[in-house]
This record gives sequence, structure tokens and C-alpha cells, in this order.
Amino acid sequence: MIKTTDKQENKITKAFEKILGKENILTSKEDRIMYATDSTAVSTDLYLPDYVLMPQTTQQISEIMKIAYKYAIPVTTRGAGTNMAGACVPFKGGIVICTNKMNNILDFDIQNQTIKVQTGVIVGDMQAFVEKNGLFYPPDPSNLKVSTIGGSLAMSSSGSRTFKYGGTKDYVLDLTVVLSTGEIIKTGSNTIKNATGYNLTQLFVGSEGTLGIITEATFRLIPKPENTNLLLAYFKTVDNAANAINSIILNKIVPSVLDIMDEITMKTIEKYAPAGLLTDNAATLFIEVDGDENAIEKQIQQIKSICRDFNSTEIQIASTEEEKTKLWAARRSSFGAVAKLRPNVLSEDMVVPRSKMPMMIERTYEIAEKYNLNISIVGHAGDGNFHPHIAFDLRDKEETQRVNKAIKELFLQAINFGGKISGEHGIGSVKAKYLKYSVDTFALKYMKQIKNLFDAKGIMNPNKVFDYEIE
Amino acid sequence: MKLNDYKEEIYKCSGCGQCQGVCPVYEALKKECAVSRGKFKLLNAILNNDAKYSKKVLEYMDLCLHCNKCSLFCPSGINAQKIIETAQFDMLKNGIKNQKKLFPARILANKKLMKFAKIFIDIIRNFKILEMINLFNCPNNKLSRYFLKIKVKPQAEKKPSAKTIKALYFKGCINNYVNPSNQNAIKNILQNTPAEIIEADFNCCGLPLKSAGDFECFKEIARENIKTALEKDFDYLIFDCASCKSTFLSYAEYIDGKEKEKAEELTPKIISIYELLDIINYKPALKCDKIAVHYPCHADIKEKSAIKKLLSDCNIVETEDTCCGAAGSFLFDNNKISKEISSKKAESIIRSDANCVVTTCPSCILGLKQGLIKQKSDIEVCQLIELLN
Ligand SMILES: Cc1cc2nc3c(=O)[nH]c(=O)nc-3n(C[C@H](O)[C@H](O)[C@H](O)COP(=O)(O)OP(=O)(O)OC[C@H]3O[C@@H](n4cnc5c(N)ncnc54)[C@H](O)[C@@H]3O)c2cc1C
Ligand code: SF4
Ligand code: SF4
Repeated sequence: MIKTTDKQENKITKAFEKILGKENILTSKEDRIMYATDSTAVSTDLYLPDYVLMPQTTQQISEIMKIAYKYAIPVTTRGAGTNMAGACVPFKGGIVICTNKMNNILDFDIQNQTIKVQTGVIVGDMQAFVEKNGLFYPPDPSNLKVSTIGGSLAMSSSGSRTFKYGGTKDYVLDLTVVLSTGEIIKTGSNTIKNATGYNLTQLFVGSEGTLGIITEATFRLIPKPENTNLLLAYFKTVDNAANAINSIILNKIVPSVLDIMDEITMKTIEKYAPAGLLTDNAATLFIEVDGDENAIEKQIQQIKSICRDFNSTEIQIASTEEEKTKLWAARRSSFGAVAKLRPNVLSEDMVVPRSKMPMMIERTYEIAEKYNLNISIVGHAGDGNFHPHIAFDLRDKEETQRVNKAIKELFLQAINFGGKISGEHGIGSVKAKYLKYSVDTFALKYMKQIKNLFDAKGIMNPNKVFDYEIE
Repeated sequence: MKLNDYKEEIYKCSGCGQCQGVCPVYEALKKECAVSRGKFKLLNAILNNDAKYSKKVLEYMDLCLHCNKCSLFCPSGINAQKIIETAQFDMLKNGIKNQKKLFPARILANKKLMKFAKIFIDIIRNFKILEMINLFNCPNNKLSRYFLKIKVKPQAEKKPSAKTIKALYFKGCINNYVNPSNQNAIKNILQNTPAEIIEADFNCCGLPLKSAGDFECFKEIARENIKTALEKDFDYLIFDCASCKSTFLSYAEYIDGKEKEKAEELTPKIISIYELLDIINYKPALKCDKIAVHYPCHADIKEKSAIKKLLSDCNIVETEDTCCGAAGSFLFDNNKISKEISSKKAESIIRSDANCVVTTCPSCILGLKQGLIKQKSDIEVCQLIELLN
């Protein structure tokens, strides 16, 4: 809650009304409840913001920040509120700035293959827009139909195609950012290359709203691959699947997607939204290849033969667009399917060197058994990034304790294998206390100094990334 | 039925936000209160005593087209419509109600009153429906222009056929009180087919009551309609409106005991006129160019596939499968949002270069026209059954 007098509060409300107009300010308790949570099972307690503000321009956000800075009001930026790290829960109340009305495409430069958007634009909308014009924006978090550009920048999102094409961070060229003081900065340039000064653009990627509010972003685009096709290879053991992956990569084949899905996930999907997955296998590889017809055919033949070498029991190839869409929908629904099992799901997100993947998966199953938990796995196998989905009931204190213990073990295991505790979902509030295990001590010191430099009053998205006690 | 019965289901909302991607009201409003995720967070807080029912809560529950799109996409499989209605019902019991929505719904459900023409006219004056009535009509004068593009196949000499199928016809409020053009079309089409139309004195289907959370009145209507139907001897209960049909199909969920059994007995006989036409193998003498089909949110797969078959000789253009924005009284209660949703639908129709758009629900006709008028388009909107006629 904001610590201000009634008189000040009145003044603040009036000022916001002047900047945004009444219809863009939500203060009723009913509204504030709806902006108190995101997609993460953080807590059964509610942390209400005092204001939910819906600006439409950079200038408006700057004006808001000047007031927030003056009165030291905490500010949490929110896109679609779909992150998986409790990264936009307003633990200290204050202001939630919602970017949903900042959804304009500002400039599309087809000649230079760049696009500039406001950060409330939905990732999938931008993707569809550029594809209509023959270009391609590859980063594809699996909830791209709803998540925002701002959220994907702030969480350094990536997706299945990251294996071949990289993630959000690899396409961003320039950002407009409003700082805690209300100052507006531009971090980069429209040009494809830029070696001019420190790379502030990348500093804000993955900053989770703790350094500033990104209001506009420019991305580079690439030509759209002519075609894609999808192949599913099933294996009786995770080891075989992992060996097939290594062999594909060692043979210099670069599929656009190289994902893995385990038996429990397949079974859950088939139970709730049947897509024709063959569930009597330990793992399946989701492999997408792209290029012209010849390239696709060649890659498919190579991949098929490698998978057979590693005793793949069955290989499915999508023959129609419809089938492709259906299988992709199944892949993207893995979180949702698991969500049907128990009231809550945590989607963890460790990344390990690729060679350690099979061992990490094995350890995950052991930990699940040890703590008697329901854990299923999907992952971007090509990147060594994998998501154990833990289905549980947050209201059951004893079970939640087991979950927390299991997560800690999983993290330490990943770190032991030379990995990190997050590959694409970020740290937010739920992983903050583990950051110190996963980041070099001195690097952490400088990270905190950077935070203080940009946010002297500590008002930007409090309680995230670093380990603070939640009051 | 009380909200508490849905406590677990509401809690199961993971907040994944997938519903934002499909909810037409969210698309227009960009606020959590529009979409099921926000609504569930709020209801969850109420169930946990972190908040109380209020006018505002009702206002937010009413901000819903009952289009069911979110439920279809919800990974947790939560039935939003039922939960929202139940919350409205809970509030109604606690004296929190939206008269603007409830009053016309109750009037519509009062047969005697509805037949009393004067009162009817007064009500529609009150609710500004009068200007809307002409929106229900197919613009015959304009339509003639469009019909020039339709090639009518030479028809074989019609022989009156023996009547072997008894079709009990639920006419619905629009046919009964506003404009009987659908009814006329159906009678005409079925004239020379084996299907015979049987009429009965039905009440309103009850959808306006259901979507206002007035379960008590809704159940009464449901029972009455079931009784009216079962008094007749028929093979099918046919509908020209997808929403009325879906409401009849939902009766069994809302009533208990013997009456539930009766509702279940009725259920397999409930079909749309288009399914009936498919059953009797009706081949429309129709071949038209660039026609868009708007499937009402309440149209089920069976109805859709029957329609596709009927129009298999027509060149159907693709439009986005979004809501028309009308959703009964939503159009009046939240006109600004409704217009925005309609307008978006209209954009997609205009982009498709359609000559005409057909649909199977009178409320959708309003939504489609509202959008096309806003977009200053003169694309015709028409009930499919009238086009077939
Ligand atoms: C079903 C599901 C599947 C997912 N799949 C993937 C996946 O495949 N890959 C992946 O990488 N992630 C995935 N995610 C998580 C992912 O992090 C988020 O979906 C997405 O990146 C967040 O976007 P958002 O708009 O919802 O951001 P929010 O959740 O609203 O915000 C996320 C963080 O960004 C900050 N923020 C938001 N906008 C701005 C801004 N304009 N300026 C500064 N800070 C801002 C917020 O303060 C918060 O800290 C998934 C999530 C779900 C629910
Ligand atoms: S899609 Fe379902 S589970 Fe996800 S936020 Fe919406 S209502 Fe909740
Ligand atoms: S039923 Fe339709 S309008 Fe209502 S919340 Fe769901 S998607 Fe939105």
C-alpha cells in the first residue's frame, strides 16, 4: 500500500486523471483484485495494487513515473500477465501499469526489414503481420497468441524455434524506455549493426520491469522460410531420444524446432485433447524443418534415418496443414493439459548443456519419486532447456513444501551440471531466492548496483529478481 | 445451484491467459473484467471472503456475450458461461440485480403479456428496440440486386409428397412477435417435402433469463416448454435459431428429477431446420457467388455441417470466425463495446469481398447489420432460411 496522506492521495489520483482520463484508471477493489496475480501459483494471499493505469503513450508513462518517483510509489508493469515467475505480482501495492492499450504498430520498414511497435502489441499479432508481408519474426513463446512484446522482452522469452533462429534478444535493435525518474531514453538504433557505446538494449532485455518500462521496440526481421514440415519420432527410452538429438546436430542438420515431450505429458494431452500422439513411448521428439521443398525433403529423410538408427519405434510426418496445426496445438497445450490434473501447476525452466539433458531428465524423475510429486516434462531439447511441469495444490501446505524442496533440488542439480535455473521464463519473485546459487557472486554485486543506478528509490517492480523479504 | 458448487473449478483457473486471445469483449475493452480469467479471479476472491458481491461485480459478470469461446480454448476446461450465470443468480438472490437486463427478459418470457400488443409496443419503445425491428427484415428491395447474382437452377416439377416426418416447430420470439419471415420461409420450403410442420404454443426459450442468472424463472420456462413439446406427437423438434436450440439442449442441465428425465427424452429430437433439410435430403435450387456464412456462437457442429452441405453449390468466402457482438441484450446494455465487436466482424466480411452474409440467429442479424452499418457497407445480411426459400 502507498504510504501517503489522504490529501496526497487525492492529489495523486487527480494527477493521474489529468494524464490518462478517468476511463483509463481503475481503482475499485473489484478491478484491483483482477490485477493482483499473473499465471504463477505464487501464494494464496492477495497483493492488491492501489491503482491500475492504462496508458497509451510513452509520454503518459513518463508523466506517471514522475509522480511515482516523487512520492516513491512502487510501480509494476504488466503486459498480458502470463509470465510464469510471479514477475508482475504487485507485492508492495502501488501502481500497476498495464500496457494492453499500447498496441500500435508504429513503423514497418519492408526495405530495411525492421518493425517498430508499442510494447503492448501481442507477439502473435506482430508475427502474423510481418508474415503477411513475406517476412518472419521467429521468436515463438508457446502462448504467443496472448503475451505481449513488452513481456517477452522483459522476460527474455524464446520458444521452440529458438534452436535455429534465436530468441527475442536476438532480434531487438532499439528500445524506448521510461526510467523510474520519468526520463525517456533510447537505447540503440534502427540499424542492423551498432557498436556505438554500451549495449543498453540488451541490459533491458530480461530486466523484468525492474530497471524501467519499455514502451517502444524496434526489431529486425528475416525472410520467411518458404515452407515447413513437422515430424514426430517416438522412442522407448529418453536416452535413445537424446542420442538421436545429438546425432542430428552432429550431422549438421539444423531443424527449426527440436523439442522433446515425455510419456506423462503425452498421456495427459491425449486424455484431455486427443491429437493422435502414440502414448506407449517414453518420449517423442517434435522436429520441424523449414526451407524449400527440396531442402525439407532432404532433411526429413536424413532425420528419419537417424531416428531409426536410434531405435525410433514410430515416425509420424504431418501430411496436411491441418495435421500440422493439430500437432502444434498439442505441443503448445502441454502446460494446459497438465493444468487439468491438479489445481495448480508450476512450470520450471532449467537449462543445461545439451549433453547433460538425459541425465537431468532422469534426475528429475528421481526427484519426483522422492517427493511423491506429479512431474511431467517438455523441453526444447536442442537448447538443453526443459520444463518440468509440477502439478499440485498450493492450498495444501504439506504438498507445497514438498514442491519447494523438489524445486530446490532440481535447481541445484541443474547448476551442478553446469546449467542455469532459467532458460526463458525468468526469475521473477518465485526464483529470486535461488539467484545467488546460479549467478557469480561478483556479477550479482554489479547487477544490484545496476539496479540501484536505474532505480535509486527501489520503486520499479519490487521483490523481483533479487532476494528481498516479502512483507 | 450456487457459486460455491464451482469453487474448485474456479480455483482451477491457472491464470494462463489463453482466454484473452479469443474473448471478443476483451479484444474490445482490453481490461481483465471483460474476460473469464479476470472474472474468475474476482469470484475466487469472493469465495475466499476477500471481496463481496456488489453492483460492480454484477456489472462485470454482465460484460459477457456468453459466446463460450473462452471455455473452448481454456486448457483447464472451465465452463465460464455456467459459472458467470451462477454468480449472477447468487447475486439476484441477494437482491443485486440488473433491471435493464432482467425486466425485458421476464417480459419476453410472459406469453400472455407478450401477446398483449400494446404493452409490447410500449416495452420496445422503452428499450429502443423499435428502430431495430426493421433491422430484422431482409432488405428485399436491396436483396433483389443481389439475387441477380444468384443462378436459380431449373427445378423439376414439384410433386406434393406424402408427409412421413413430423416436425414440431419452435418459432421463437422473433417469429411470434416481431417478424414472421423465417416462419413463412420454412413453411414454404417444407411444403413439398415429406416433413410436416406441427405448431405448439411455446413460451420464449428462456435464454435471456438464463444469461441474466434468473435461474428460477428460467427453470419454470424450461419445464413449461418441455411440457408443451411432449404433449405433441412428433419426430423432431426443429429450430430456425441456433441460440434457441442450444438453450433447449441445456434444459436438462438445469432441472432435476422426473423433469430432467423428460428433458433428456427431448434432447435427441432437438435439431435445427438445416439438419432437418439434410435429413430429408433437400437440395436447394441455389447457386450463388461469394456468400459469407456467419455461424452463431451457439451453433453446434451438427448444424454447421448441415449448413455446409446445403451450401455446397455456393462459393463460400472465408471470414474470421468471431462473434457478431449482439448477444441479445448485450447489444443494448453495452452498446459501445457491442458496436466495436460488430465492427470488427464487419471488417472481416468486407475484406472477404462477400456479396451477402447469411446466418441462423436473429440476434446475429442485428450484430452483423450493426457492424456493416458502422463500416458503411451495403453488404446484405440475411437469414439463411430466407435465402434458401
Ligand atoms: C501457457 C504459457 C506458455 C508459455 N510458454 C512460454 C514459452 O514457450 N517460452 C517463453 O519464453 N515463455 C513462455 N511463457 C512465459 C512467458 O514469460 C510469458 O508468456 C511472456 O513472455 C510474458 O508476456 P506478458 O505480456 O504476459 O508479460 P507479463 O507477465 O505481463 O510481464 C512479465 C514481466 O515483464 C515485465 N514487463 C511487461 N511489460 C513490460 C514493459 N513494457 N516494460 C518493462 N517490463 C515489462 C513485467 O513487469 C513482468 O516482470 C509461457 C507462459 C504461459 C502462461
Ligand atoms: S484460459 Fe482458462 S485457465 Fe487460462 S486464464 Fe482463462 S479461464 Fe483461466
Ligand atoms: S463467454 Fe465469450 S464473452 Fe464471455 S468471457 Fe468467454 S469469451 Fe468472453
